[in-house]
This record gives sequence, C-alpha cells and structure tokens, in this order.
Amino acid sequence: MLVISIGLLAFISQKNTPLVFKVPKNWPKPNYDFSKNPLTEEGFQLGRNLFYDPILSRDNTISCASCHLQATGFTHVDHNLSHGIDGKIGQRNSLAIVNIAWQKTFMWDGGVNHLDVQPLAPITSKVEMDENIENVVKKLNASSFYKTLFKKAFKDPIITGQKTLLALSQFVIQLNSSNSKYDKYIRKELGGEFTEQEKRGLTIFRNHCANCHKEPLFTSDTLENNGLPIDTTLNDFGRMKITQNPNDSLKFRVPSLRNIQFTFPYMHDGRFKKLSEVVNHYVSGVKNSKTLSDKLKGKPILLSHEQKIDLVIFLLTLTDNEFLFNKRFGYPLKTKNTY
Amino acid sequence: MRHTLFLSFLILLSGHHFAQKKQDFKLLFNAKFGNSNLILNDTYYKLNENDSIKIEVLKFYVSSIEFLNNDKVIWKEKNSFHLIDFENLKSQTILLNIPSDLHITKIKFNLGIDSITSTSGALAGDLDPTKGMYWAWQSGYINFKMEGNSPSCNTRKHQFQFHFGGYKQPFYAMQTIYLPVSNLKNNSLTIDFNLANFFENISLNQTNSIMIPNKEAMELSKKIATIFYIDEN
Repeated sequence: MLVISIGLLAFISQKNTPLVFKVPKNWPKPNYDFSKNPLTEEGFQLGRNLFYDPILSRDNTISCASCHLQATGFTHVDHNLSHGIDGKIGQRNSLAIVNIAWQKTFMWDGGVNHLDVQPLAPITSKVEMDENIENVVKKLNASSFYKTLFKKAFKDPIITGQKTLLALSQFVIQLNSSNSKYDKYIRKELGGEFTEQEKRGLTIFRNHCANCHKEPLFTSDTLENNGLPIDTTLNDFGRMKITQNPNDSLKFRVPSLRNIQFTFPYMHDGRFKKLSEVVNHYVSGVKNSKTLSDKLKGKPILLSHEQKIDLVIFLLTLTDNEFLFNKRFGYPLKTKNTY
Repeated sequence: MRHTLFLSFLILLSGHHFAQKKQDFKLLFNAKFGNSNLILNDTYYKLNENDSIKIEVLKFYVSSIEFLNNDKVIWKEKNSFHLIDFENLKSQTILLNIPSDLHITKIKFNLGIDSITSTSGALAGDLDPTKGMYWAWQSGYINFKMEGNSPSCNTRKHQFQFHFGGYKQPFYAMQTIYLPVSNLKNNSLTIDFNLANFFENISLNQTNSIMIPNKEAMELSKKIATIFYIDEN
C-alpha cells in the first residue's frame, strides 16, 4: 500500500499544474485556441523566463521586456520609435501587450496572423533582437536551466522552435487587465465610484471613440486609417506594405486604450506625447483621404475645451494597478542566473 | 449464436486487416538542370549562349500527398507535410506506408503550405519555424526557396533570391500538382523537376529578388509548378 502511494505521489508530482484562463464577466469569448496550447503553471513560468531573458537576442542584450515593461503597461515609453539591439531605432512605437487572447492579428500592420508566431518578428528584426529562432533554440538546448524548465512544461527535454513559441504564448496570454477603476465602475464594485467628470468623460467616449475603441477591450481589433498625416521621414503606409493593396494605405491597428495613462507616446510612430494631443488630433487634426476610416468620415468630433479634459480624465480610469504591479507578471524569481 | 457472431466478427476483422496490408513506398524528388542532375554550390550551369547560373539554396514544401486511380482518390497521407531540402539528401526521399494493393495512375501533391496550416500558429516537425521556411514580420510559410547567383543579376554579388509564399488571396501561392503515373517499379516513384525550364522563362536581370507574397510570386509559383514531371523511361 505504501509503495503504491509513493508511486502515485511520484506520478502526481510529475504532472503539470493546469491553469484556467479566466474570462471576466460579460467579456466576449477569447480568440486564442487554448486546446492547442493548454495553459499550465510550468508553461507560464517557462514563458516568463523567456520573456525576461536577453538570450532571445543576437548578443544577449535585448529581451522582450526591453520594449515591453510591466510598469508601463508592457510597452516601451518615452521613445517615439522603440530602440533595440546596438541602440538601433525601429520604425514604430512598440505596442502594449494586454488582453491579447482576444486579438486575431498582431503588430501595427496586422502582418502576424497568430499569437504563437508573433515573437518571430522582434527576434528576427535587424533593429530589435537581430537573432533567428534556429539559434535561439540552439542556445536554449545548451542551457541545463532551460532543459529542466522545458522538461517540466512539455514533458520532453528537447527544445524546439514550436515549444519555445508556445511557452512565450503561455506567459503573454495571461497578461490580462480587467481591474481598472472603469471595470469596477461597470461591475459596481468598491473603488469604482466615478466622479461626475469621469461620468461625463465616459459619455463623450461612448459617443465619439467607442466605435473603434470598443468596450470592454477598448479596441475593435481592426486596422483603420485614423487620419494621421504621413510622416515623410518614415513613409510608413502601414497595412498596405503587407497586402500590396492601395485600399489599405495608412491603416494601422486600433490599439487597446487600457493603461493608456502610462503607454505614452501614442500612435504607431509615437508622435504624440500627451493624451491631450491625441484628443486634439481627433477633434481638429484628422486628414481626409480615400482610406480614412468610415467612422471618422463626414461628422467632425466637436468637443469644447472642458469636454476634452473630461475625456482625458475618463481615460485615466483605464489604469489597472493590480495589473501593473502584479508580481506574477514581473521579473521571475528564479532565473538562470540564480539557478 | 453468440459464438458464431463472435467468430464472424473475427473473420471480418482479419479480412479487414488482410485488405489493409501495408508496404513502404519511396517518393523521391530529383532536381535537374538541363541534362545534368543539379548539384548545389559548386557548379555553374549554362543558361544560354553567354550566361550561367549557380544554385546555392533549394528547399520547398511538399504537402497533402494523394494517390489516385483515374480521378478517384484511393489513398491520402495523414498530416502530410514534408520539407525537401537539397542540402539534406535524406529529405529528398519521402517514406510512405501505403496499402499494398493500390492501383495508382496519378499522384497529387501540393507545392507549399495551405492557408489553414499557415494560420495555425507554431507547429512541429518539418513545419517548425526553425526550418528557415517561415516569415516573421508577415506570417506564413515560404513554399519554395531558391537562392544562388548568376552574372545576369545586376545585384550585390550577382545574387538572386526567390522566396515564394503567401497564404491569402489574391496572393495564395500554394500550387496543386497532378502527375500521371505508370510503370510503378520497386515501390518507388521519382519526381523530377528541371530548373532550366524555369529559368528559360524569366529574365534574371529583371527578376532576381522576390521575398514577399505579391503578383510576381504568384506568377513564378505557377511557373515552378509546371517543371515537375515523371520520367517514364
């Protein structure tokens, strides 16, 4: 009996700890197919290590977290264009990683069609990590620390490109923000009491912004031309580069506005430092063109000075401190350096 | 009664088993340039009177292999994805396990990867993104990759690079190829393709770098599909 119990214990201890992906109440169904990459604590911790490890870059200097910092909503702040390896400057402002289980396409131009393959873009970019996945896998296979983690997560010590990417997905897919003041207001919870100004801001938001920045995700997960005049130093036409279709000229991802207080600067090229500049763009800066979003055509957004302030005050209610300071999402406690 | 039923069930089962007797079958891909077999890297092949070409990289996906009798599909490989890489001799032979009583008159395969697979995230085996056949900034597999050089190319080091792919209309570049089969010998079949037939149709000084899904990639993918054949002799 004792032998059986010990045997059973040994068996149980080798089993993974499954994690349940929690969909907040009244939120839509996530897009990610969890059946193909069942979440486990071991997979999450492995992905977390990979996310924070510069091993993914050519010279071991740049990690995912270099451009996606938790404290600023998992994006790179203070730089209009994000920089990567050797101090090189990219073409665009890094996107915030938040609630991506609901996302169907990735990157500003929607060029990536599945979360699992997204990391290939920054890993191979000459100005971000300048590495290739073949070499990343080689480096990981040479590390006893990672061999142990992969074995725990996938029951197989042989590290492949697929497993590396699935593990990264396991981590980033859990970076979910749904506990902002706004969320508490909607759920009528303690801490969610809106001021009159915040309520006015929400009404303005719903009247003018929510078509694209749809609640509760604050994005429609579509690509739109929001009327930004072209920056001739970059000549970035967005989606058109992917599809070769002139109808897609100047279309970029509608980003989520969650934690927008900290994700500055704004827009694909980070041209606006402040939220007030963003609001001013939509009120008086939208440039008409053939591909301008239908939602911005025809009816100008007319807001008074006070209304603009109300709107910005509302946007601050999308800050989710539980998300920004969740220790589980931070630098791993056990890394290959402490191992 | 119960015994008879059980017995007939057994007979049925063994009969079924007998009909499903399997055998190994080798499918070989053989690259040619004109009258020669293609060798990567060290040989220049004559393109025309005053030009030559060297191939350095040649790899492509073969997927969804099916055998047909007339137009009826009589066997299809499950999970059929194979990377043929001419750097790796072993990859040029696909080992199949098929029923021994097939009467094959036609073979079908796709050159490249279908759109559903191309949107299914990170995959394993020959589809693992470490195989150098997956695009990064624009998702999708490279169906056919060929690189080399020729004095015709007015490019750096006279290089040409063809990465044909694309999984979305109007640039869905995967090609379906049907080839008639006769005189099957030794449970193997060799599929030849002659790159000279591809290069004689294009002008390398104009077309030498295609690395994204676009109109040209579509046209050249269609051309590549026409150079595959089965030598009856």
